[in-house]
Amino acid sequence: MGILDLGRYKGIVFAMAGFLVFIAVILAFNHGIAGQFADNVAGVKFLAQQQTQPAAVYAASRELTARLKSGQQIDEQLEVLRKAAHSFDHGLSGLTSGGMISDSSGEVIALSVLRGSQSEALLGSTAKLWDGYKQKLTPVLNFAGSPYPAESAEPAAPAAANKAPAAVATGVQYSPRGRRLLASLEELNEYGAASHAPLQKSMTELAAIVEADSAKNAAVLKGLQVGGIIAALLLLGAIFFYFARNLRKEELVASRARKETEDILRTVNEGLFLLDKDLKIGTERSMALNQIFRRDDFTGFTFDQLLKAIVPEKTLRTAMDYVALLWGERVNEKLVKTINPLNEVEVHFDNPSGGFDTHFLEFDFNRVKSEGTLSHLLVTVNDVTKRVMLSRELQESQEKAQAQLDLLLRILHVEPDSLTGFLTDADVSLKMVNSILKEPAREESAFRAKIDGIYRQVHAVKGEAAALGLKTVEQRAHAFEESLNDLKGRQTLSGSDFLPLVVKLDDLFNHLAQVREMLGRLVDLHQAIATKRTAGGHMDAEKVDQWLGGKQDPTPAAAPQASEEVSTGLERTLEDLAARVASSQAKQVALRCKGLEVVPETYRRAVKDITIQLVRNAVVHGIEDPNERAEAHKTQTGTLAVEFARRADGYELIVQDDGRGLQLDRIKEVAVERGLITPAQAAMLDPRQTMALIFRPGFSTADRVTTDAGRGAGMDLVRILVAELGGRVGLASAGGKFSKFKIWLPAAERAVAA
Amino acid sequence: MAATAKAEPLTNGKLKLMICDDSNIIRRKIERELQIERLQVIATASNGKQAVDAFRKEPADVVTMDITMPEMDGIECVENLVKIKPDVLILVISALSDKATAIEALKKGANGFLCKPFTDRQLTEALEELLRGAGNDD
Repeated sequence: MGILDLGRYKGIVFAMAGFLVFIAVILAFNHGIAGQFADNVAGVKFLAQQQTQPAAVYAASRELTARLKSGQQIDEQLEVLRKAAHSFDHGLSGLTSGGMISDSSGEVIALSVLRGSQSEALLGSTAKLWDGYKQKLTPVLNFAGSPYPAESAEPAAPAAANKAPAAVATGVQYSPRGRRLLASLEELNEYGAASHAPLQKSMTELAAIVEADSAKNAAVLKGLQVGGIIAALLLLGAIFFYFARNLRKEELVASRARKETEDILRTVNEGLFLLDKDLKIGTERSMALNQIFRRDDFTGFTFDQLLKAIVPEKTLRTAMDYVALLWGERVNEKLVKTINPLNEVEVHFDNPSGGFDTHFLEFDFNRVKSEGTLSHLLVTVNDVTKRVMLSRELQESQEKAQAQLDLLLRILHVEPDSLTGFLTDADVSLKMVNSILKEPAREESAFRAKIDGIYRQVHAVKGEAAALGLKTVEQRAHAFEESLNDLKGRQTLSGSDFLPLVVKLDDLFNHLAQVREMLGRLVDLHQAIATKRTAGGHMDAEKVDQWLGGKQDPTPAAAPQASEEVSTGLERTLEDLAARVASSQAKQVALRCKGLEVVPETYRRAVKDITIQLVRNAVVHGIEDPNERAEAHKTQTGTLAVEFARRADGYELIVQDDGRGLQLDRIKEVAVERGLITPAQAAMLDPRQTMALIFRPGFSTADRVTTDAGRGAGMDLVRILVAELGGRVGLASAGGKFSKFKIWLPAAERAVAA
Repeated sequence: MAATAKAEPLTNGKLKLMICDDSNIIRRKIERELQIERLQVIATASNGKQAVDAFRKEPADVVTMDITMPEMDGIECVENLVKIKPDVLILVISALSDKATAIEALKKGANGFLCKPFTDRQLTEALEELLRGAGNDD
């Protein structure tokens, strides 16, 4: 870079310099001509003076002759003639030797015009004429002394002066010299009479030549000035035109570029804008922005103001931090794109007709550098709501399909008998829920009793579904439970609070119907295959078609199962449950069942509910994981025993595990945490009282609420079930060794129907 | 900061890399999958404290940094490393569960972010971008 680096102004600077040079040349030329003009003026003046000289010489010579003839003094007149002759001679010799003249101030000027051929010829003839004149002049001018005789001179003079000239002339006496002078004068006068006029004429002609030259000069000067002004105007015009054209061209290019930019910004689908360091939104932005942000005016808006109304506070903070990062030089732009918090951000726009609209926007930020420094961030915004919604829908439908497949696979794995049993029980339970819901209730306590009753039924369904691994059923039951818990937590209850439960119940009913239908088809398929086998490879095509069409088998269903079968069904259910829960907890458990076949029909349901609860609890809370067991010198596989037996006064159900036993300190801690007792009360409790805490409603030692561990309703439920049957629960435990639940039930005849 | 660290370049002209992650599986994965000729692993650390100590003894040119680590977490560690050697290049390698935490680490002076889990190709590309980005700033 330097002073000569004029950039786009180079043209105009060069043009102006050229123009000034042109003006200077014109002025210099003008100056030269003007000088010559002054010289010519002096020449004309000189020649005007010179042209009178020949006449003066002639007049002087005649006067001299007259004086001489009248006998007057001639010295004075002789001098006049001498001067006049000299003046003309001097002037003429100057003119002939290159047009040299002396102006009024005595300065010598050369008149170049007199060097022309015409003037030279004129001067030549003049000089010749003058030379002749000079020859005649010489004897006169050389005269010295007196023309009169010495003696007569003195007296003669006054006489002559006083008398008439004619009389005097006749009487004038001359010396010989005088006579000679007179003769010379007579000759001179004669010559002069003939030549003074031509001499004067030549001088006049010379003056005319000079004057003509002067006039020519004046014309040239005028022409030059006019030409210069015209040329200067033309040049100026050309410069102006050239620059005006360039300017126009540049403006045209600029306006075309601007138009293109506008077209792009108006048409592009993305929201585009620039952010400056103060997070101000730039004036140039795409029209799509208006639609994306549902506003027309962004003037003076900052980025945080734009986001504030549509994203949560936390997202806004993170986003501002992220944008601030991009302004820093340390961070590599490409390596932080993945943590852009506005990559796919959920935004809410107020809906004028109430509520708000949810959209998903995708922001992308790019650094804009100009001259090596970061000047702006280019922000690209897209509304990706459709894309996000589609991918969510896709995911949901995939999950749904996966769930159905899982259900189908589960059904395939479960013994049809267990499943049928479950479906029957669940149906009974849900019908009971339905009738509880319909029971009239007005008081708070009645509402609470309703909730407890429904809870027990739903929890049982959930437990059994979990035992069979029917995830979809379990999830729905779990959701039902959550709603119930929500109701339990409320301060006051009213009848309308139960309405959502009806929907949930309906959902469960429908789902169970689906399971039943699927099971029905499977059973049919099973029978079809069995028939085919027994018929020696002959497949009953009609039956398969029926199955595929979802029609029920017209043949009556299998005869009701004997109690024995149901009990062994329970055994399988428990084994399945223990294995499943153990694997989800990364534990190893061996379950041993005994005497379940002797459970009387009246207790079947209750025993099932109780054992499911206790087995699950034992695996989740009692049995340690293999490492812990190994450290405690136990076998890695925990042992769990379920025994049912007839006693003299009723029945006995024992569920025992060789796990870590009840942890009394932990139970106290949790009870305090749950607000069941105060720390002071906890300190007073003996082991027996501590163990009893686990049967309190709302107690749970599981840290998280999962479908496996429940929320402590399990033991509460066991206590209630046993109480309803008029039985008792006993609990024994040794820390680190075992837990043992002993349940006594009265003889079946005394039992209250479940 | 009493940093007596001497930043002597390796005689083979390579850049020094320190790997900082509490999982030795990840540490080994980075070491094994490092396919950039210009980098040589000079130290590994399983927590922030170790990393800062090792860095004081011999500061690396490039650091890969986990965020959740015992003793001293990645954010604090980044802050310390940048104090010792302001021109160190730090690539945060972490799971993308919480963007705000990652941004916090970048605010403290880290240069880039790579999301766990990553492939060897992603790792190579991220490190190359890190080195390239540093070259551009000069």
